[in-house]
Amino acid sequence: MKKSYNIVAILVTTLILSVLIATACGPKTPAEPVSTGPITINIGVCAAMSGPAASYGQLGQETVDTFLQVFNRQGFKVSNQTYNFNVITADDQANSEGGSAAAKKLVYEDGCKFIVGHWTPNFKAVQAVTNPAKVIFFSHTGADAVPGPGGYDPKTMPYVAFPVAAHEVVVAYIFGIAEVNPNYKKIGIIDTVLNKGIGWDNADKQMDEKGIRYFHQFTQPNTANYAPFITKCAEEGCDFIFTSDVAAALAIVKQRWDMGYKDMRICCAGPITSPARWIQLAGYDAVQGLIVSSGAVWEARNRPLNADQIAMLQETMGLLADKHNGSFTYTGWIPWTPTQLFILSQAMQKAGTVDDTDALMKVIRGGTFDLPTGQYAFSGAQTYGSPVVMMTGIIECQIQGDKEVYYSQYHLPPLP
Amino acid sequence: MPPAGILVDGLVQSCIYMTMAFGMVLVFSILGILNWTHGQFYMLGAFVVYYAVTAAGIPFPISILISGGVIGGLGMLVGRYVIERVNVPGLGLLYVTAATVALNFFFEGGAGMAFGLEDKGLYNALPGVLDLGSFSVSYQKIAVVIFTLVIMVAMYVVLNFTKIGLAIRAAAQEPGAASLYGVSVGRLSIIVMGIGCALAGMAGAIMAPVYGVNPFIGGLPLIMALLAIIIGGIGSLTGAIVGGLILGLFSSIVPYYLGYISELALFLTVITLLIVRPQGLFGVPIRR
Amino acid sequence: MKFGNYRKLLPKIVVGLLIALIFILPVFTTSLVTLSKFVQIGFWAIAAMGFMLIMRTGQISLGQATFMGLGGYTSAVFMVKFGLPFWPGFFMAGIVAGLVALAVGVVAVRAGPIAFSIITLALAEIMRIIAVSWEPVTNGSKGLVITPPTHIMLGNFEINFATSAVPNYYFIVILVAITALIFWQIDRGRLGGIFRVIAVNPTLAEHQGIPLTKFKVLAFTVAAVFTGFAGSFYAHFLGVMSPDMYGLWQSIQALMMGIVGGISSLVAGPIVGAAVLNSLSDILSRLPVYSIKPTLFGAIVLLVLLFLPKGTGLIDLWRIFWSKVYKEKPITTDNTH
Repeated sequence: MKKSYNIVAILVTTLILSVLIATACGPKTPAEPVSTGPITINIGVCAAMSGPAASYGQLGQETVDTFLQVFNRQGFKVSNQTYNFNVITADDQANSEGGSAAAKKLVYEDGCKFIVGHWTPNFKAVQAVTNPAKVIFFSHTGADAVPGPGGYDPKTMPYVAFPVAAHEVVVAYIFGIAEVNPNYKKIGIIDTVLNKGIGWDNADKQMDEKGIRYFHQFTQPNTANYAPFITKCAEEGCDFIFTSDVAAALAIVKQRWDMGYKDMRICCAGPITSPARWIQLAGYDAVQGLIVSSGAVWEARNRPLNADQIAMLQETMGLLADKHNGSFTYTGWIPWTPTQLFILSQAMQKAGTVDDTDALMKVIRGGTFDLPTGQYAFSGAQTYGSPVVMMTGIIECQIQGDKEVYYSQYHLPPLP
Repeated sequence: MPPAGILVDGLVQSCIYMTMAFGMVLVFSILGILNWTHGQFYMLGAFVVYYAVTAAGIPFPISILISGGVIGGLGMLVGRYVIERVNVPGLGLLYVTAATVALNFFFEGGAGMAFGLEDKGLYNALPGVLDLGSFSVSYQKIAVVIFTLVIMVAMYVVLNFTKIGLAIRAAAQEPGAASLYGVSVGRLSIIVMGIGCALAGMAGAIMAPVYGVNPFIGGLPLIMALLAIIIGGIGSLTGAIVGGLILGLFSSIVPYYLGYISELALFLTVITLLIVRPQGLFGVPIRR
Repeated sequence: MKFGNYRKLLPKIVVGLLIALIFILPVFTTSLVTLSKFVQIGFWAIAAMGFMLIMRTGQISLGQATFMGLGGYTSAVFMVKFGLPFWPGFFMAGIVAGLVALAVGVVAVRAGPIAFSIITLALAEIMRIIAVSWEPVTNGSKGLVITPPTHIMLGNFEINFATSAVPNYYFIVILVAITALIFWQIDRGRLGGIFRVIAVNPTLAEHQGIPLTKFKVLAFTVAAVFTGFAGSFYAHFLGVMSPDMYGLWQSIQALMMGIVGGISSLVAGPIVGAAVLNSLSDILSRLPVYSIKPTLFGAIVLLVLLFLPKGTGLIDLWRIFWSKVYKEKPITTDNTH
């Protein structure tokens, strides 16, 4: 027995010492690029790579890496030098402590001057690291990133921009449904408490102004049983249920079918991984008519499409399909990191610099950028200290058979 | 009076919480410890049934039994090689808590590594919906209720009318006296651990078609089982059943009226109950 | 004579060197990432020490996260809603945490040891739910943005918490040192003796006229006060306070750190436990195989629990290590470390 103490003791002491030494060794400098040829710029992404939301984080990493294979073939030129992007993903565990640690790693160890494609709810923790370090941070509006007291303050957070106006876009979905179904009875909204606050209050006001008939309910995050909420929606006469949480949508799709409410249509403000998976999870019949967001930007109607960017995206989809037995239908990755990389590369070209983040923010604020479905502008041109948000549009598709079929689109008017 | 659909839904929730709480109390009464991995056995049971049905094509009802067997066996291994080693007098509660919590992480992460993190569905097991007028109930949920009834009856019979059941009850009440009568408390502990964990595994199995399967479904049943035991009284089997019933109905009716505040209401109710009557509804008063 | 002195002296010299190293670490590296990790370790060490102090009276508190959160929210709310600078909020954090612990403790301790654990467990979740629901004060699940402590001027020398990690590092080192010293003194003194009697033999304690509830609540409150301080500082360090930071699982992490460190030790054990588990967690989260982190984490804690003799933890390896070096039996009597 004493022998095991010996070995265990030595092992553990070595472990502790090596851990302490390793942590004290400090940051690793990024590899020096070869002097001829394209220079690589490190871009950081904080995403949930562990825990329940991990599959989206992992999909995000895989899709971005494939996209960069295509993007970096040509790269982009700033002042006669070609540049490539390299995306480094750090696991932020979808909470504040992890977000802070992930941001610190990306900024100080990997030397990233840009953090993009952020979709987890720890905006505040990440910006607390990026703003003092003058690192540009692209995130999405929503819960903790809404302009307002205790939220996003453009004056104290100057290096933040929102290429995805997530909380405004929520309203766009609902308007989209109302447009396509003018005879709808009522839209039931089921959302988690995480999103309660100024965002939804503003959305409610906008919906009231437009005369939308809706019924709002909030749930705790990670609810498994939606029966009480669905019953209430049914009692209120709702024929649509809208939710911004994909996991909730999956549960509601199945549970409302099990409860017999087969005429209720479900709409979700997020992308789904693939119709085939959802059919396996909730049943073929239940999933029919589900309305979800689509990143298939090439399907937008009556928009001036950017052919080059769309070609790159479709080539990426092709490569991804090759990796996945010939079939890959997830398009939800497109409006996030890749689109934001388009914005960054154009900003760098306009500003003539790849690391002066002050100059870059000047160009981003109020600037107009070419995106796959046309040109969009960031707000904030007029007043320094006003929010920097890009009002984009959404494309909704519905599940017919086992495919996602174009349903509607809605574009938001730009903010000043 | 809440609508019938809500009551039925509450009943279905109760069934699961009851089964889980019952398993936990069984383990507690013999081994004297709360098993924090109980929720993960639920999750693993769901995975076993998923793979049994989809990969091996075994019919759903038999898969449930297989799930019970596999998870029961796993429970016995855990009991023998982890809990017994760590359950020393005096520090037992602390060490077992820490060990079972560590196992909790281990199983959750291990399931994630082995099976992947995405949801898996068993939609096709017992498909279909029974229309009862003002509301409908899916056959899957009816199966849950039937399953729980069968289990409860079986447990009642075993504990009251079989030799091994009587031995278990004797060992739970007075281990010293029981061993004097030739009951091997050590062996019984392992068997009880197996039964308790098998119950958790089968609960996970029968619920797998209803909510889907992923490595994270074990957390909520664990908390609910704990709360059910607290309401019913920690050492009491009847308490587990009643506590599960109350909790299940509460967790369906209160959100219907109060929305998202129901979670707070639930915790406050439990705390108040603990303050007013620390031993729960059916428990024995705490001897310090 | 000299030879005998060496034996007792050498371990103490090594410990002294380690402590000195910790104090002068910023000379070797001002890397934000490294110093942040030490801040994180220090914060959790205080929480784990609080847990151990409560353990000293024989109770298992699953509610340390409550006081981390209470401390954080108190100082955050004071800063955001009332405009107070950091220091008053910091002290209020400790006071509020202590008051809540007092109120809860009086009720929870009386309910018995198992009920105590369960009430403290529920407490963490209740605090989280209240934080999410009480929008006007806590901003709900969106959280509060707070700034690091304001800078201090010492003559011409400015200590700026916002621009460099070094002042934060020293803050947590000093906080840990103060907590450790106070706890150590409690343990060595009369109070520590009373705690031990209550834990080991409550009946004897009662016969000796010791009011059990009073001292159990005292330990609970003292632990809460220091945990509240730590929570307040950490929130300001991270720059944000949100409900997702402290819940049931954080309480359990504090418990695991205490146990892995070794429950025989009140001060050094939790620090070692916090250091090992936090570093482990950090290393594991960098591995490309996601989901390996909880698996290995659970496995390693389990191994420590299974293969080290009961009642010991990593800190006891220290004693055993030195006894191996000197090739003599380890001192088995109660070590006052």
